[in-house]
Amino acid sequence: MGNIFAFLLRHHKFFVFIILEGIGFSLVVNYNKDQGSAFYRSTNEISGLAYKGIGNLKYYFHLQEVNDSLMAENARLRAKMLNALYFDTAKPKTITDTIVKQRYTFIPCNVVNNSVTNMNNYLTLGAGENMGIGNHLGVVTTSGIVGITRNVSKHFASVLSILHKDFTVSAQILENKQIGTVTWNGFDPDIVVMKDVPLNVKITKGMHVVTSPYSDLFPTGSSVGIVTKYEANHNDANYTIYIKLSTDMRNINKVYVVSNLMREEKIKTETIPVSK
Amino acid sequence: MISVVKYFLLFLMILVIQVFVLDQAPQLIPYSRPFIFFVFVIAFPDMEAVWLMALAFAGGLLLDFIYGTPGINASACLLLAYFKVPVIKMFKNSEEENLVPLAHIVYLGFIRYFFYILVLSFVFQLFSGFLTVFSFSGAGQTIMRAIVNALISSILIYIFEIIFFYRRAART
Repeated sequence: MGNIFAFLLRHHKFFVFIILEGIGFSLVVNYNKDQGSAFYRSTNEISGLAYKGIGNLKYYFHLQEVNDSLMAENARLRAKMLNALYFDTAKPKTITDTIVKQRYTFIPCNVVNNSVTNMNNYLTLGAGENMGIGNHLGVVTTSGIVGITRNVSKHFASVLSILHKDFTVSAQILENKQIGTVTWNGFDPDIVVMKDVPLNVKITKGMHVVTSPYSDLFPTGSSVGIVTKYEANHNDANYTIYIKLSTDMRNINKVYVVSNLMREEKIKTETIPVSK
Repeated sequence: MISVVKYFLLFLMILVIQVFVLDQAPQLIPYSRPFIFFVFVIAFPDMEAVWLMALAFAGGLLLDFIYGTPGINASACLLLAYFKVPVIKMFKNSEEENLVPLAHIVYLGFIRYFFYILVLSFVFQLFSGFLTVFSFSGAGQTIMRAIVNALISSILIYIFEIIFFYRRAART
């Protein structure tokens, strides 16, 4: 113990220098906008690299499940192919289609880090600006919605998980088209809560909840989950509906980042002041 | 006690010259900025290193609050205070080592003293330059700017020192 004090005393000048320089650096990073954002961007990049290494390993052990989910998705897509359909017309004819336009594009990427046990959970994706991912885009898996990108560096993107207190999404019950808001209450990573559904609507267990047309981050009808429980809340005449997520948030490997090609136009239309 | 008050007034004067004169002056050489504020770290008399570092940090922070760049000048002034003694040792002859505690024109001579100021100015300009840009891309430009600024600042500091310190020291 005495040696430690002697050591500290002998080099006190150096330690004072390091401490004061540390204070100076934290001032620079926390109170200067440019330096702060550069600093947090690079730490994001470094932690992303570390997570990528771990993620690669995890990914290897999950290959079997990834294959299964890809097979399932392939099966679903094959079912939609023209050769899987039957055209009940006597005379086939060509139709030049000018009313169908692409609205959403999907960018596939790997998840390199994921948390479900915190009050606010995040995922990290192994793709960033280099793959065309931007801030504030929806993230889905083959089975349902996952979150929203919130911070993107060159090679990584951080995603606000659906299991985050700031996450809200407009959803609707598939069977009766009733629209409400889905959030997470912070307890069970399998269960989210839907609110703002009035008591006059009939709800049963097993109803499907999907994203509503109001949500511009996710394609309309992306799966959220299935109603497992509901409580009538007589104070504000609304239901509290508990939904089992269709995505297993503990076990995510492959996701698609959804880019809405018409979102900017929509927001512009909504925010431009009305001319008189 | 009197010398404390004297040096405090001198510090205030440096601050006023920096903020109200040099920062307002038109830019004569592109990308350059005359900056003499850190002269109080270089020129003030030798004191316990820890105290000098604390004073340098506090002084730099004061300027930072005026500029609205918390931490940048404070960190750079602190660095200067830490490296002041090693740089002085670099410029002294071996026989002067124990003889002269101060780095001063009177002891070091005009030319050696100028290079002493130049080295410290360069350290300051380089460190604060990189902290301001906060990136190593385009490092060449940051280094060039530090060299130009260090030269200009050194000349100004040299003049300042001759006016305020040399005559007095020569008299005693």
